[in-house]
Order: sequence, then C-alpha cells, then structure tokens
Amino acid sequence: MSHQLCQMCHKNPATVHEYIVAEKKENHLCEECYRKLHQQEVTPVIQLEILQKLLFPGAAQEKGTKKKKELVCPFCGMRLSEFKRLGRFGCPDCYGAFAKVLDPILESIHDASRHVGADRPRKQEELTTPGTFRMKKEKLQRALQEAVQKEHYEEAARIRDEIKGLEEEEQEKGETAGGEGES
Amino acid sequence: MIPTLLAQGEGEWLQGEGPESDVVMSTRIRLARNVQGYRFSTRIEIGESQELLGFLREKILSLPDRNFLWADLRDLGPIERQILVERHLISREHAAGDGPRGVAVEPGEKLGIMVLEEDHLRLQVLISGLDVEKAWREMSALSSGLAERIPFAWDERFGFLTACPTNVGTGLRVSAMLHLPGLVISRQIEKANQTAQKIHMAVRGLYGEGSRPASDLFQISNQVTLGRTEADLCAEFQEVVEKIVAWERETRNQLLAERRTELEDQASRSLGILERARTMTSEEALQHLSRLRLGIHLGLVENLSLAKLNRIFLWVQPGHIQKEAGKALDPQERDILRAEKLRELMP
Ligand SMILES: [Zn+2]
Ligand SMILES: [Zn+2]
Repeated sequence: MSHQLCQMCHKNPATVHEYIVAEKKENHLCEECYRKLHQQEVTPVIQLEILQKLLFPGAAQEKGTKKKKELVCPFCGMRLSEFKRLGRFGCPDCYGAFAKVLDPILESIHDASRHVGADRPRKQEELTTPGTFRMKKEKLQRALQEAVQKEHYEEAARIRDEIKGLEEEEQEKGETAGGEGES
Repeated sequence: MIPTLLAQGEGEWLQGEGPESDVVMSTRIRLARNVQGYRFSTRIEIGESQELLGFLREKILSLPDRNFLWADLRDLGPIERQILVERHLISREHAAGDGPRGVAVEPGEKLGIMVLEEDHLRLQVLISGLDVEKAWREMSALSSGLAERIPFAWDERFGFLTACPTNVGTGLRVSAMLHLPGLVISRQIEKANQTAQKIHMAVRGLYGEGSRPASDLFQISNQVTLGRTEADLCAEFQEVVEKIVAWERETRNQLLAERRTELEDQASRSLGILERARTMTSEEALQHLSRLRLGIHLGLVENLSLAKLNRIFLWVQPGHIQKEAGKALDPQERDILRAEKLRELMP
C-alpha cells in the first residue's frame, strides 16, 4: 500500500485517519494538521467557528450604532475579542468579567447556564497555593495604582494595609505548610 | 528496578475484560480541574507554570494510598511522547506542547493525570469494557483525594472553571471506544450516530481509511458538562452505549445467520495477510485486526485471545514500532518492521 499525503498541507505523510460520521467525511492528516483541525481532543464537536458565531451574532450592528467599551478581564487582561478568537479564557476571573455575554454561549453549548453538579469540595476555602497570595497581591497592587492615580489617598492607604496584612498571612501560612510538609 | 512510567505499558484496559467487552474496548472518564491562583494555559507565564508544575507534582506524588509515577514531558523525546499518546495516557496536544508539563500514571494505567494541558489538571480513569459507574467511583475517589490538598478554581454559578467553556461545570467527559463492524457492514452506523447526536453525544471514527474507518473503532462521548449532575451524565451515557451494544450484537448475529461464509472468508483472509505480509501500513493492519476481532466473537478465529489482540492493536502503531526498533524510522521502514512483528505475533 502506498503512503498518502496529508490532505491539508500536502507535504507530510498522512498518519492520522479519521472518519467524521456526522459529516460522512474522511480526514487523512499529518499529526500537525490533525492538531490544528481538532484543537482539543475532548471537545471534538463544538469547534471554534461555531463558538465565534455564537459570540458574534450582533457584531455587525454593534459597530454601526455606538462604540461600546470592550469587555476586558481586570486580572489577566484578556479582551472579549481575544476570547472570541481563541475560544479559551485566560483565567478564572474571565468568567466574571464576561458574565454579561456568557449565558447565551453556555446555553447554546450545554442547554444550560448554571452548574447543578457536585458542590465545591469541603474545606477548599482553607487551602492555598503559592499562586493564591501572588494573585491577590497583584490585584491589590493594581487597585493601589489606580487609587494613587485618581488621588484617592485614603483608599490607597487602606489598600497598602491590606497588602501588608496579606504578606504577613502568607508568611504564617508558609511556615505552617513547611511544618506539616514531609511526614 | 525502580518502576518508571515509560517502562509500563500493559494497561488494564487492554485485558479485553469487563462488561460488554465484545463491543466496548474501553471506558474512559476525564475530569478537568484548574488550580486557584493561576492563570489558564492561554495566559500563564513560564515562571508561574514552572512553579505550578512543581506544586502539583508534589501533591500528586504524596497522595496517600496512591502510587503515581511521574514524567516531565520535556525529558521525553518524540517517540516516547508518541507511545504515551498511543497508550491513551496523554493527548496529542499534550505531547506536542513545549512548556512545562507533566504526566502522572499509576502502574496498571487505570489512573492517569495530565498536568498543565489545556487545563491545569486532566484526571483520567481508563478501564476495560463498559462500566461507567465503576469508572466514576474511581474518578470520584481520585478527585476527592486531590481536592483535600489542592484548591480548585470554582464559581457558585458555573461550577468548576475550565479554560474552554465547553468543559465548564462538572468538567466531566465520559467516552467509550466501541468496535462496531456489524453496524458498519450493514450500513447502519450513520443511524447510530444520529441517535447519539439527538441526546448530545458525539460519535467519531478512529483511524479511518477508504470509505470507512479501517478499524471500525468509534469513540462516543458526552458533549454537555454543565447543568446536569455527574450521576445523570454517567447514567445517560451508560444507557446510550448499552443500546448501541445491543444493536451491534443483534446485527452481528443477523450477519452470521445470513452471510456466514462471507464473514469467515474475510476473517481467514485477514489472518492470512497478517501472517504472511512483508510490508504493512498501520491502517491496513488495523483493518485486518478489526476483522479478526469480529471473527473471534463470532467463533470463526481460534487460538487468539481478545487480550492479545488488543495488545497487537497497540503494538502496530507507529510509536510502538519505533520503540521496538530503538530508533526513529521512516514510514516505509516502519511498514516492514510492522509486518515482521505481526508475523511473529499471529497464532
Ligand atoms: Zn499536514
Ligand atoms: Zn481573565
């Protein structure tokens, strides 16, 4: 049997062969193009283009009327337009930042927009990671900057105290975590 | 000898046991989780992901009553990564990435964890045959163990937060690998797919060639992760797959009654080719192995156990062939070695 070339790049030998039942379509691809085609193994059906369509229904009108300020995640800086392009969020805070536009997206993927599965595991709020404090501190430092810029000095002082408290808490946690460590 | 992750390779899911194993090769459950305090893969910086990798490695390896083996993907070459993909321990995406990332696997390969894939954690349970409830019990225990040590990214409204909104909520993806030669031969596979789609399941053929997937292997998985309980998602999946299994069996019996000689002829020819060929592509091998698998269940092929056949399915894939050779081979060289290996393995 001869070796087929990848139908997408026509360069590499096709090593992945699949048959998309719903589309009655065969794909003969190299590994690289396969990955490009199926961005995610666990999300085989909802592809990026569909997601983009869902996210963009009113895009044309929006431009025509008035220029709204684009939604941006305050923590990771991901813009709504970037999320539309990637189909992926940047951080847990993005869910809150894009909440306004999220429900219809979730509805169209899941026929639902609220979680009804398992509750948050017990005692999760007591656990921390090295990133927990850093993330909190980053957020506070950003707020501090803003307060200073706006000359809200009282608020700035309050945030400074909060940062100090956080640093102390981190040190304590770090010590207990070290003590509990290897057993 | 210290057991290493790569030296494993006799995954329990290959045993060909468990309920409905004449049709269902394996059941898999994946759970997506992210860790509080870190950005998702799209935004995480190298220093952070390095730190998170170390943090998660320590938490996973110190789980009580577990015995995970660990590999840092940056230490593995392309063939080694390919082998892990073929063993269903990591995804192609995980194998292809170049940032800090790892994989943890328990001996027996029933439990696995991809670390810093699209989500920080992708937990996996992979078992032989069809038993979603059992797989879920295993998964539940694993995720609870981790939840005692790792705070997950969580939101009251959206549940467990994932990088992609298609996984949010439960983060639960159930899938099964089905061998459906009966439905393929009788041209009912499209109907099976339509049935599955109506209830938000996707069916995808694997390793296709010509007018149909050469191996007649199909993967079915749930598409919805939000707005349903884990128990409901599992129960519904089990029910749907059981229906497809019954349908496939019925069709096989019908085929056996009406076209016995044809099926016998096909299985015998496939056996002959596998025993005799001097060069063989992986697609051709899969096609003949699929016919043999059907032959075994119809009592047309003797001296070949399902467990052995399942292993052969694995061994003929490109990564494993190159591991056998101990070096990278071009496709033509692989085809020669594959044929050699098959001649040796056939009963
Ligand atoms: Zn290609
Ligand atoms: Zn964000």
